[in-house]
Amino acid sequence: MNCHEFNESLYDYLDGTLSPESQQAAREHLRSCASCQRALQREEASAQFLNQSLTRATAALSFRGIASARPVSRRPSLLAAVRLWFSSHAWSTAIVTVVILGVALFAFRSSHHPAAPARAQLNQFAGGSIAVIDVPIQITTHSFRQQDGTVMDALAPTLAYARFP
Amino acid sequence: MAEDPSASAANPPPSLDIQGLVEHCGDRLLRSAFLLCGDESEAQDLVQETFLQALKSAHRFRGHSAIYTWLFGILRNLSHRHLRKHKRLVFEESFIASQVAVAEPEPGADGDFCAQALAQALQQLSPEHREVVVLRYYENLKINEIASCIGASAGTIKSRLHYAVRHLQQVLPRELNLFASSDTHY
Repeated sequence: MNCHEFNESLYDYLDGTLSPESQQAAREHLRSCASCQRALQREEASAQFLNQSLTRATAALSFRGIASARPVSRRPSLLAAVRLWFSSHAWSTAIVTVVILGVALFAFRSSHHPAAPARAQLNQFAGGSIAVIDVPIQITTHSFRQQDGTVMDALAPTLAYARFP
Repeated sequence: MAEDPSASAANPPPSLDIQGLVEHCGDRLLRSAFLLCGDESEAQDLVQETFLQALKSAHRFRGHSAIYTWLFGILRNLSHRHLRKHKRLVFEESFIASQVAVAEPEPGADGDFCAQALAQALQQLSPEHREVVVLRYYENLKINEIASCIGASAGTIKSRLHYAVRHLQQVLPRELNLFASSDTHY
């Protein structure tokens, strides 16, 4: 066993969970490697210190029992729940907002340029029938008027129908 | 303790002796919960919730692990759920390195001071690193037991332990680096 292999197995060596062969190989390596001996001692000392300190830090704590403690799963207020939801879904909220605004803007612009349906009518003639389709065409009319020496500009969209054929 | 792990659905296990469990495991669970969450009040609530959950899930305990291990698993799940709900801050490595959030104990400082400093420093670790420290150095579990409890590989556990102790050294360099010389690293 080399130093790298020993370091990889250090915890398992201390836990006694290495295979008998690996445990033996680790012991033999330790006999001849001062660096790995120090690493082992350091880990043992650290473990002892950490255990003692954590035990000391918590020694005074005592469970007060079931009856007197509050349940963890408290229902948050609606406002707190909404805030929490928005804070944890910031990106998706932003994307949805942009999409909604985009759709609203599109709908707003569309409402000022209503797409009137084409009107179709089938005319019967002796030789057959001709389908006449009235197609709406958007015409934008500029009307200029003057008021008190000032030219007022007005933009009035109008719909006209073109008949084909 | 009145549970019978071999009982079947036709013969349901008797109810858990909750009072006995509280007396036997309550304090130890509370102390682990405190080390995990850093707040005594929160820890008390978590342990209460653990016992209540244990009562509801008593039928699921099959005796494959020690009862304390089973309870700790419930505590751990509750603590993770609570953490996700309340969005605690997680300190990144660079932040830890740039901060001196815990006063380094003076040489000769008493054990209580070191203990409190260590408990505080533990809260600077991420939940994943904090729990392996608690399980290894407080609950004294072996690597394979921690891996089984957390559901991670032994390699992952070792890696997290290494990282966590390295950062705790920044708070308590003398105590956690007792045999280090200038040319060796933990």
